[in-house]
Amino acid sequence: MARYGMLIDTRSCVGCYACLIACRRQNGLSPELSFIRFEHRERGSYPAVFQEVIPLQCMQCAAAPCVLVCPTEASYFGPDGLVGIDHGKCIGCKYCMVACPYQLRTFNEELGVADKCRFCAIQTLVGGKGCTCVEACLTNARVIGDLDDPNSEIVSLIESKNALPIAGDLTQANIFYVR
Amino acid sequence: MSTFEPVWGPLIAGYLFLAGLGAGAFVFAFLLQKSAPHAFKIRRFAHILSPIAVVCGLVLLLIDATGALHNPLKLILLFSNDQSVMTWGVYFLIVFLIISVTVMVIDLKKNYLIPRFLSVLGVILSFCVALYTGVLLGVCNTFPLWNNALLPPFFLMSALSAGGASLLLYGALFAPEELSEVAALKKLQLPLAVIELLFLAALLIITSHNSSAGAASIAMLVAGTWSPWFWIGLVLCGLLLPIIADARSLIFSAKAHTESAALRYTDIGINVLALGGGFLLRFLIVMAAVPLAIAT
Repeated sequence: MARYGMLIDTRSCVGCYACLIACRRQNGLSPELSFIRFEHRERGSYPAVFQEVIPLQCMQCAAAPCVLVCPTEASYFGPDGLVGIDHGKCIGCKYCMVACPYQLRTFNEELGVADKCRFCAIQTLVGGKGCTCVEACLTNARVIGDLDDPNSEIVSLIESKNALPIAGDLTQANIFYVR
Repeated sequence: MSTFEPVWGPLIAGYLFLAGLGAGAFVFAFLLQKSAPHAFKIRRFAHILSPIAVVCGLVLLLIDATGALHNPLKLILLFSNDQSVMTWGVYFLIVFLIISVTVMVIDLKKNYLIPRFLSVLGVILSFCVALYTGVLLGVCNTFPLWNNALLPPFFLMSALSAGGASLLLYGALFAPEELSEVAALKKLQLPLAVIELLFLAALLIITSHNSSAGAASIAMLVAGTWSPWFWIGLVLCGLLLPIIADARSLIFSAKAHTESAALRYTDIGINVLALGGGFLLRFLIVMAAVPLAIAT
């Protein structure tokens, strides 16, 4: 068993939105749908100030509130630490969207269901293409890998760059941020 | 901080209100059995109203849940996750509907003896339904305005008060001759509204101290986007005016109450306001919830 996760280095991110466009293309999303939300923060103190761009997407939480509250079990824990939505089961009640502490779920009006980052890594399990948001990133701010494999690139980068989940141990998130 | 669009809106607020209203009406119908045995019309109205209000609320819920509208068969899945408060609610609502429809049918067949176990069971389920609407929001730890233990009892009080107001409104409109009979019901409205006002004050004060998101929610209510609705709609019209009117009729003898046309119109107006306040309470709590900041 693997436990997939991602590292996002906000110090490398330039906020070009290439990942968002790649994600839309890969998942066939309309321009209204975004699985990645960008937040901006002012950092540093005058005169050494800069703007931090934080790309946020489904954190693939091990303690996912969305899975807990979903009445139909459409939100589920998939294989290898991924959180999924079964659109065939989703009734569109939006309880998961309310429960997500990061507000990282969006409503797919076309299908009438909740939607979110599908962590395309799941496709690598069956031999498909991985996350194109990772490939599209100009500055290699995104790294995907197996958090349970001590020899993986992501684990060594998380250690060397001291990457942390965005909100501490709030939901045991599997996305790690360098800030 | 990113701007946050509420996920749930007026439809959900309407559902929370109607579910509470139906539950409250059922509880009052039970109370009337003993305290006002001859108020047949009002009691029958309560028995008809309680399942119908809940069903109307569920229709609002369905309109909001577009995935289920596309494929109603999916609704069977609502029983899947026994950890979800929404699933608990579905169970409560179904049992409540079975009981309240049965009671309604018994009443409509001019049979005034509702089996006691059925009434008591129905009252228990009414409490479950009214409380669960608060728990549904309360378990979302993202929103300090919701994530507190005050919401379920607050919604319960509001549900009872809305149920009572709907019966009194019906009485004032269509069965004025029974109004003196249900005086006990009318007397309950005052303490219910006072408790609601106290709960509201406690919610405002405590939530504004719990986090910056909590403070932002309260600021939206008392001084921001929603302040006219909050102060004029909820506090003044929904709570204070009914409290003043109820206190007044409690202090001055309610003897002339059924005869005086002016008092009857006051009654009608006050109960409409109380019902409006019940909806506004849910609406404002749904709309003014600000999420905790995560990436500080």
